[in-house]
Amino acid sequence: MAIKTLSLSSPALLAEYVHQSDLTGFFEQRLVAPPDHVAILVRNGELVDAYKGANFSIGGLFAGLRSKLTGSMHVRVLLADLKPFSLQSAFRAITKDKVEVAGVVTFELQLDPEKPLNIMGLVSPIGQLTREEILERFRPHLSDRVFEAVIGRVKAEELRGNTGLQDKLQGDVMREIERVAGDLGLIVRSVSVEWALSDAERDALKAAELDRQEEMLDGDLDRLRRRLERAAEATTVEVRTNVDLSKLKLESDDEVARLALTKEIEFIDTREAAQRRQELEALEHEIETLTKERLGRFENEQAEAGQRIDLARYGRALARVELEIDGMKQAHLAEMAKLGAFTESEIEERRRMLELDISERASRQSRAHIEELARIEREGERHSVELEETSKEGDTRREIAKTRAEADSRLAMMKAAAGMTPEQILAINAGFSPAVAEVLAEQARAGASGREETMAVMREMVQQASEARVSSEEQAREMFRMGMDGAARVAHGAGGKGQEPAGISASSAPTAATVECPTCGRENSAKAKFCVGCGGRLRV
Amino acid sequence: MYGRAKLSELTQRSENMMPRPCCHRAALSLDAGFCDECGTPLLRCAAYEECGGLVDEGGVCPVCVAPRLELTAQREAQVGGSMALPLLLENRARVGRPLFVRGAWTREGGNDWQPMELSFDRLDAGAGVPFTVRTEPLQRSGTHAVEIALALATRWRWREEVFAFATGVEIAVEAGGEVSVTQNITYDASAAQTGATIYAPLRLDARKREQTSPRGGTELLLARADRLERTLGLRGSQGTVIQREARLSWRGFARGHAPAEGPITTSDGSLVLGRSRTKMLGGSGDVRLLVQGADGELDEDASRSISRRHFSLSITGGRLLLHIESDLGAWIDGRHEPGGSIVELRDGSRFSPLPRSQAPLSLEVSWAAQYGSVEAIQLTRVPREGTSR
Repeated sequence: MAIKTLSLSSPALLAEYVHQSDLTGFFEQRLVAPPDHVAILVRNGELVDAYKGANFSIGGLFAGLRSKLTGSMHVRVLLADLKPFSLQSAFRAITKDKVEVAGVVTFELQLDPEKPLNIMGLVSPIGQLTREEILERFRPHLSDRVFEAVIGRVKAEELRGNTGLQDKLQGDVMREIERVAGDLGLIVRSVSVEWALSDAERDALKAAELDRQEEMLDGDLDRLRRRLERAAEATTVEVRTNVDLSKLKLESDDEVARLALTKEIEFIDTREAAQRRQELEALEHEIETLTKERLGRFENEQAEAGQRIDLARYGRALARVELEIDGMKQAHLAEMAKLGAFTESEIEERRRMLELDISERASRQSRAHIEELARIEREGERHSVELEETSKEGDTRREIAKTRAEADSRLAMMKAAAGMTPEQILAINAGFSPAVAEVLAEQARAGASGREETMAVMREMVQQASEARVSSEEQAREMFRMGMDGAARVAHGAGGKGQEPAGISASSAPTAATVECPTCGRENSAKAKFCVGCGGRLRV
Repeated sequence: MYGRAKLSELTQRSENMMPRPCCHRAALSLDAGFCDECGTPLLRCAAYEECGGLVDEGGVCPVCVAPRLELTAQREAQVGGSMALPLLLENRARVGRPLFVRGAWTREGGNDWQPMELSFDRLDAGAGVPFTVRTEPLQRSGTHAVEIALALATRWRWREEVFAFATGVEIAVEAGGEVSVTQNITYDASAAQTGATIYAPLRLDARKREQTSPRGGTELLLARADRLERTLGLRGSQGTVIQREARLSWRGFARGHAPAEGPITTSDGSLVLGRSRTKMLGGSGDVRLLVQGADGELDEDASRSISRRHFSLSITGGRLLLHIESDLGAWIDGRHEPGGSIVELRDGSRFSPLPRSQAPLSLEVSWAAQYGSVEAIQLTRVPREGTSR
């Protein structure tokens, strides 16, 4: 029995179906699967088993006869390499702070012999499975489910230089790849990620590079500066050395004096030469300025003269055109007159006359309307005035009657007072006029010292006349009594009689008698009912 | 202090103190303190020498204080607007006595009195000053009442009497639509753009207003507002008002050294207290203050420290005021007051004219108030004159 070791037809393959011709033959064959391979036996489309590092016999006449007797039997063997293989893939992802990071992920895989069906699923329809196919199957998962999900959780600055975080991300990537690979029938042995530089890191590197270059240039500058300083110091030393040497060459004081004079002359010459040079430069500058000014002025005058010439030319052209227009207008008017048409001024005059005529007619009509309306309004007002006058006439009649009654009353009063003295009349009038009352009060004060008793009567009259609180009837009676009393006394005095007339009360007669108050002892008028000092009653 | 019976008697006696016509005649004699005809005390105005008036039962001199308030325009308004009431305040005093406006207040709808700022203070006799009272926005139609109060003062030398007067204005508030506007515009097509005159008379139909509006001004009756005087502190002190006709009784004085019991009836309404003889004894004073020694005899040296006119006592503005006229000053309630001071005396006050010790001579004041009104005051000399200590 021949022993045949199964092997893959190409090192680039990961799995391959054993060719059918290798499985058929007259003699039974013993097929050996290497220990790092698995042979998956499929009989009649069903998976029989997966043999890792095993050998089995197949084919031969007996098997051919039995298949002929018991029916057709189809056997296929899928040989898969169980050695770990590595794949590399570049990736790009965006960090949490929107910085693109890139890297290369290298992961080591192995086909899982425990999942032969998955291995079969990976094999392409042509019966082979390559690493590139595995990578192609992985790639979308890597970019979408692994790197985008893991790197999107961190910021770029956190990622850069943070080894711990990178290890954690590597672990996350490995866990995600294991999850994806496990579904495909692959075992993940290891995953390593090489992080490429991000833009920020590249910028940082560039900045660092620039800093280094700048430091280097600064270093060069310092070195050059120091070299210059050293050179300057060396020159000073050299000059001094020359001076000293020249001094040493002088042998006598005369030579020293001559040398000093020579140096002074040289100095003065140099200074004068510099002054002359400056003066010459100033003169040159002035000449140049004057030249430019004259040139500019000449150009301006030239331009103005040119403009005046142009203006004169344009003026002549304008006059010529205006003459032509006038001529054309006159020709046009002559032609219009020949045709018998109205001129514009005539049309305007006729239109104005028509408007005036319309306006005049409208004014006449409006004036007539206004006159008619005003007449109607005057008529209405006249009716109103008549009504008001009728009402006022009644009021006036009542006023006249009232005034007449008051005049009658006043006349009757004057008739009653016809026989009274002027003081009595004034006293009565005091009831109507406060001013008169004050006059009488003054008179009463003035007469109080001389004619006490006479003026007492007057005071009483004045006060009774001027007091508003006395009722009119009482006041009238009192006035009448006092008036009659005074009139009788005046008549009595005129008649030369020494006694009081009949009918005059004793209370109103003047008397010089006094009484003493029994309470306070004050002297009071004999007619006083109460003491003016204490208010005590003197008589009933 | 007075007993109840005495108080009742004094109150009855002070009732009939209204000046009558005979009182005016009797008052012409400046020596008279009572009317010889009716016995009424003659309560002269402080400015009697100018006005010659007697005060009435409320202490008002009708000659000096004769204000007149006039509403110079209509009293109708419409709902929704406030109204300005143009008023004219006149001083109708017959003599040349000015009035001084101490304050003005308005009140609407039973609210509190609101002070009103007036632009004038002095109102000369015969003069009238217009001012305006603005109402709140009138919210309802009907009759709206506005009350106006005025505090008017009359002054005579250092004395000032303030009286409050109040009046009311009723405003008829109508619902509106009273005035109608009528305008007829005559315009026809022929007048279009021809420059013709348009006849458009405007008429305001206000007949109803003319019928109801009073012609000319309306006098507003000013009534005395004694409650407002007490509330605003214009008269009296701490709610107690001393009436002008309050009877003064003098205790502890020798005969002839103090006036008889009764109100102040002097010509200027004040009593003179001092060392000078009283009028009864032929002098010019009213109350004689002399110091007696411990043996009851006259202490001439101590008495010389009392001026002839040391005090003047008056009832002014509802208060009992003591005017210290002496340059030596006086002791009032244990405090020395300089000359020229005016001090209000209260129930229980004690004053002395002596410069050092009050013990030889002092006067005690006491009264009894009834319903916030004082009508009798007692002044007691301590120690009693004519007795030995």
